[in-house]
Amino acid sequence: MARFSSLLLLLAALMAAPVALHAAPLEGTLRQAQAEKRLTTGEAEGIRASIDQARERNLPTAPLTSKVEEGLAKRVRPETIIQALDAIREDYAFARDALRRGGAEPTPEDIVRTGDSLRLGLTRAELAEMAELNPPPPMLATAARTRAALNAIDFSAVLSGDILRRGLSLGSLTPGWEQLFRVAQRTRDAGMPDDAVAVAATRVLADGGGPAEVLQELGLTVRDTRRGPAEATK
Amino acid sequence: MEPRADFASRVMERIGSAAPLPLPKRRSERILDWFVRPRIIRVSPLGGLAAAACLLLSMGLFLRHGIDARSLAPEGLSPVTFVLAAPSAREVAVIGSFNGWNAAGWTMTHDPSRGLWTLSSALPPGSHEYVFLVDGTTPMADAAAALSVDDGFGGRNSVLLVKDDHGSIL
Repeated sequence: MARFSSLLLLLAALMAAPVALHAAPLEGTLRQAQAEKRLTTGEAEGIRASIDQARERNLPTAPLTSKVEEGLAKRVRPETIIQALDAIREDYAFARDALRRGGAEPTPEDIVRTGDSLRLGLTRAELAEMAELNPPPPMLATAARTRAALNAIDFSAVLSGDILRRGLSLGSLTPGWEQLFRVAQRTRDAGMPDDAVAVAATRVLADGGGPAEVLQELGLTVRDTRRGPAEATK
Repeated sequence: MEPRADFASRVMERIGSAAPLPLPKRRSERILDWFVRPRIIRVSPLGGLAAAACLLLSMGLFLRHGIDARSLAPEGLSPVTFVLAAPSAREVAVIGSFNGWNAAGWTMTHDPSRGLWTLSSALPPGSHEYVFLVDGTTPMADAAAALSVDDGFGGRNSVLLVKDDHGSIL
């Protein structure tokens, strides 16, 4: 009887094991890297300590774990991985402070979107400037992402500042505006200047529209490619 | 006391006249017997609790995988195709934030006539960072990507923005 109970308990433990492993992917990654002699015990400890610092400050840690996996996959030196973790952690801390200016507590998703925008091309000064308008955290995260993408394609910083100030002050900056850089790219392909995008975007923001309306405003064709021509005309 | 001289022959005669022993059952029959013969299973409270724990965990895992299956349903994902021109590469995989930077299962298919490596998949809406891993060691950003980002290691990751309903008409 005791053997039967032990067997069942062992079965329960085995079935719980995958759940436990799922909860600690970092440990598995670090242990595997150590087994493959790609990390020393001290280096693994350094990585753990860096992520622990983020956890102690209540910052999101999942992207840091992903960064460790990325670094190991790319065979990056451990000290460079730790430097990258420290930089991301500080970006997230700065992003959270900016997001909190409006008085509401940001979600981890807002912090990650905003913090990652700093790596994409947004400057801290630009983020701080937009935060002074005290928008709700999700809207500031959208603004950060939108402006970072515009910076990444060398869209005029002055023009993007104008567009985003307009959207934030009107409260009409919906998540779809993150695609504005695609509008700018299509406009450039059509031989039109960035100023035209800025003028059209500020007008559309006042009307509560999105990037698709900006394209229409600029006279560029928009078609919903999810539908066939017959459906589109319905 | 000495046995009689014909003792051995009488014993052998008795053995020869006895009914033959049944042949041993085949393995499959023995297994079948084991399953069909009624048995009494006595379970202690501890054993019962352990069995209940197993049942609950099974249900939990089943539900979790059920949810995962739904989240992976095609309607929640958008089709994407990665393409890289690398005629001299021996092997190319896509690694990124969507697969834990793990190349397993993400190896690209080579078309020697065009020198292109391709991989089609489906990803959830959002922003995904990725690179091509050439010959298992060399990360390479996607030159065709609209955006790229500093990877913090001195290189760059390509950024794939998978559209949702907000951006689908662009």
